[in-house]
Amino acid sequence: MKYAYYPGCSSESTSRDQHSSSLAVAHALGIDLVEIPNWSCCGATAAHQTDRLLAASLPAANLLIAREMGLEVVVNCAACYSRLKTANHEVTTHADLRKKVGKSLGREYDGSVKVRHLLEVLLEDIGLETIQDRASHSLNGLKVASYYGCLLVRPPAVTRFDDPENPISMDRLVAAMGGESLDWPHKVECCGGGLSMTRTDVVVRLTDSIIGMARDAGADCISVACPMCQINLDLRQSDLEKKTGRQYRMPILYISQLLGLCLGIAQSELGLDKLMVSPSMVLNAVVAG
Amino acid sequence: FGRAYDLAVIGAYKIGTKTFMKDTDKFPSMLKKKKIALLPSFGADRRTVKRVFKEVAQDKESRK
Repeated sequence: MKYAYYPGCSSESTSRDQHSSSLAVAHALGIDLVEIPNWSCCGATAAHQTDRLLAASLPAANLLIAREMGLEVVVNCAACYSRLKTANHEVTTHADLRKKVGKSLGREYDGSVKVRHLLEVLLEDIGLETIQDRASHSLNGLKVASYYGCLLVRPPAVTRFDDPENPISMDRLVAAMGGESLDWPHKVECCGGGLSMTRTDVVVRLTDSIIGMARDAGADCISVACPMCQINLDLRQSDLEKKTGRQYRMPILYISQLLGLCLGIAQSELGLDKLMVSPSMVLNAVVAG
Repeated sequence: FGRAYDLAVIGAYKIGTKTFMKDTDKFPSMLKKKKIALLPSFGADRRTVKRVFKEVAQDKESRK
């Protein structure tokens, strides 16, 4: 199985661990991720808030390269996933914008390149049975709160990812790996990722609510699939402690890291040393067999 | 650069808002864990990105 892989800018900074763990997991499961050559920034929230043409053209530039590769695009970052899918939606539903995007890139783009999140590939193309067959370790009843955030599921008409109100993609993976997937109400709450630098006060309140709810649900850790959610929930726990006195020490792991542990991939390859809150509790729970 | 360069964005934000000390306690651990890249990435197709920005600016101008 071969895909064009769009790593996104955070793969070179805040989410190196998601990048390395995803590549390792993909390799272990026989998924061939071919990095889009000379990929550029999708524009993220900044372009989206600045100009509609810019927000569509920047992702389209990458999708055009993928079209030449003749492959579907796989994305790891939920924000990039959202921007690439939105660009496809925009150019397929607005002919005038499609024309402008074509002019800005010097080539026509019709929105036909399929964009998928790695989670979708794992569940739809690989399948839980294969993953279970390849797993050498188990989460051994570890209680995991799967947190999806905003960008994977919203707007549902564009992303079409799982159930926008109660997604279960990660939960299914967690259960297949022997973990206890928790039913909790904050799966798709916003963590305030986009405001992490500018409105820390808001972010601390939102992360407090999410991590607090996960703890009340009995979670040993939270699994995520979005770099913004991960860094926000992981990094802001120290601020939370200072402002509220609450010490959660809740490990925030990418689902690819949890999956990697079960596939017997080395911790260094999974980037577990890059997490701010120690994942030692998770590591102690994972057992062979 | 064609790709986001966090350090420059953070620097510009801090200068613009004069919040020099905010979050500085996070910097050493993020640097140690390589969660912040000291140098920008040069792998992107900068020519296309430059062209897009130029076309978008012209489009904005024409809409005025």
